[in-house]
Amino acid sequence: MLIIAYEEMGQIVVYSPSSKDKEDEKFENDFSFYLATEADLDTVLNAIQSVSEIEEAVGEEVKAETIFAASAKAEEEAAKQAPAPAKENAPAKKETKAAAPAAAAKGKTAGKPVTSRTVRVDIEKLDALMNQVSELIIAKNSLVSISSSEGGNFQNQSFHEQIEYLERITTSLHESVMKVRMVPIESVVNKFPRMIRDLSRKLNKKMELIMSGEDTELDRTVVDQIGDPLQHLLRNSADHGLESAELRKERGKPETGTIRLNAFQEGNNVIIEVGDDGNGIDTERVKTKAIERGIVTEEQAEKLSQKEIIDFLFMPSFSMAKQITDISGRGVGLDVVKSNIEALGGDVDVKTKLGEGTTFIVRLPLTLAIIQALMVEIRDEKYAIALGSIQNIEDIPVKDIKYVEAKEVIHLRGLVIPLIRLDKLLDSEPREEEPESLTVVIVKKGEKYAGLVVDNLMGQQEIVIKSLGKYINNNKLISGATILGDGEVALILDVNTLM
Amino acid sequence: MAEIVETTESIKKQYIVVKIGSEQYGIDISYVDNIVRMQKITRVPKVQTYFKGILNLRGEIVPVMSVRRRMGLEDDVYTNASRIIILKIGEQGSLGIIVDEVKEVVTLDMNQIDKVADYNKKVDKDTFIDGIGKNGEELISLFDLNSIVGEWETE
Repeated sequence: MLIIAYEEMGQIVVYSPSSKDKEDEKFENDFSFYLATEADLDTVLNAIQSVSEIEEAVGEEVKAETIFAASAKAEEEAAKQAPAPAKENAPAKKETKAAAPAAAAKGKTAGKPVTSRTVRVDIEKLDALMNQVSELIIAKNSLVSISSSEGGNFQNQSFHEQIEYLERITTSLHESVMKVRMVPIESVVNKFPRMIRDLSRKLNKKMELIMSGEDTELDRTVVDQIGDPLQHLLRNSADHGLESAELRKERGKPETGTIRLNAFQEGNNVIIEVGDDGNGIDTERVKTKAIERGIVTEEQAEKLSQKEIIDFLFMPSFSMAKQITDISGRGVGLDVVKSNIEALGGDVDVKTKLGEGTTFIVRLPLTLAIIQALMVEIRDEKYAIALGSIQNIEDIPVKDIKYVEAKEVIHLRGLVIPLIRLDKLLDSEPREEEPESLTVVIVKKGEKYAGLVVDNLMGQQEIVIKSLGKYINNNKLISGATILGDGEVALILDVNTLM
Repeated sequence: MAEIVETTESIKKQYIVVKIGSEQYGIDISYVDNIVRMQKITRVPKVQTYFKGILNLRGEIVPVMSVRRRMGLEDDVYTNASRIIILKIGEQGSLGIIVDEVKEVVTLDMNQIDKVADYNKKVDKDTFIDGIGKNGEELISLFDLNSIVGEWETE
């Protein structure tokens, strides 16, 4: 991530550890490099410092000749004595001696390049590939629908076999293309438990981190850049969110604070929630602070909604910390988090309740996704339900519907499952006659079940998720649309928001 | 002020003239991507009432808005002349609007256009028009496309 920033400014001539090591996260707390740039030293240092994981950056200007001279010598000793010349030494976490990493950097230049079995590909090329694959899938779907609808002429067995073969190929081709780009967020979040333990010690607060959904996959570029913002949100929770042990006891909360990091996919978004059971955001205090800083006048402040007040926290150099610590309080924080996430095309939402905790909800787009879905019919409209969330499908006689608090439920193998009448929810035309038995798609979200009542099942299909665009807002009920084989549009139901 | 008039005088803009109800409206041609015949619009539940739904435009999903509903007129009646005008506005992507009829393309000089603010000082907040074009005897209300699509957030 850091490297990306520098490459905008100039060319990195020599660095250590090597970039491959860096990608594999093999480096520890510090690294160093020579940068050939036209920008002056301060600009470069500032840029380094703006990366929140970097604790300190040290740098010196040096003429190109010196570098070449120094590396020509190549022996480590010589390098050590040539006192750490053209070097932006950026130790993350701790300040280290300047000379040693510089020497290491020089040592590497003499070594042979490591042969690797990977190829670097421009993401744009992958995008183009992905688009073509989705076009192919749409074309394949229309072939499938032709073969099943035209009857007579296409009852040829080998034709069907070939279609099935094509289906298998496109499916696996799609999977491979997706896999090229997707990595689980595990690689990023793995380091967080340790960070929380460190913070716990530093802040003298008892806390634990509960993570779920580490296997949620995201685009490589997103995963690379999501670490920083997430780390920041976690620090925020640990430092600002959680109260001290005494206060927690007073409030009747368990002494150990809980920080949750939960990731899951929702339609064509991946949601990462970072929450705590701490103090919550004191909007009154934020308001006072905003007035103090002259961002709003008192009269204006009175009219602000809670959301607008919370938005102040995302403003540059707005800090609520009473004292500056090495964890927080420097006023560089949530604004960077927000701009980072927005740069990835996502957004940040805050849910807070004073005294009960705060949850930051980071929503990131899965730019393009192809999923397996069950197509259902409700009246004459077609909807898709992601196969991943479907548990099973049942035929339920109307007489088996029971009522709990005037809501319809069914009792199925020991589970009480609420029924959701999709036709009512989606404002479909009312049905003239209630049939004797309902087709119910049982969906599951976490530990919760719900039964979606549909008119008809159409079968399983691979669908390409397309966004509805920014103009339409629909309470997130519909997560996108897809184009069926016959060119018709079907909407994708977002099961998570239904429940 | 005099200077501004002079500089804008030479600017000519092309507008697509459409009919909605009994009125003629002009749409700045630079925003128009495409004009398509009426086709199947898939209803999207729980959206702003003035969105008719979405359609499939050569593999792209395009939301379709009813300008009639947006302006508080009675609902559209589709005829053979009904068209969907696909607009491309900024970064937001495509948007289709339904019109009763597409008539012609006119070129209007800036001095043929009266700004709404000029004749109606108390500009109605709900107006979707930012000017009136005079094409010979005919008057064409010029759509302010930003106000048509812009308020979706606050709805």
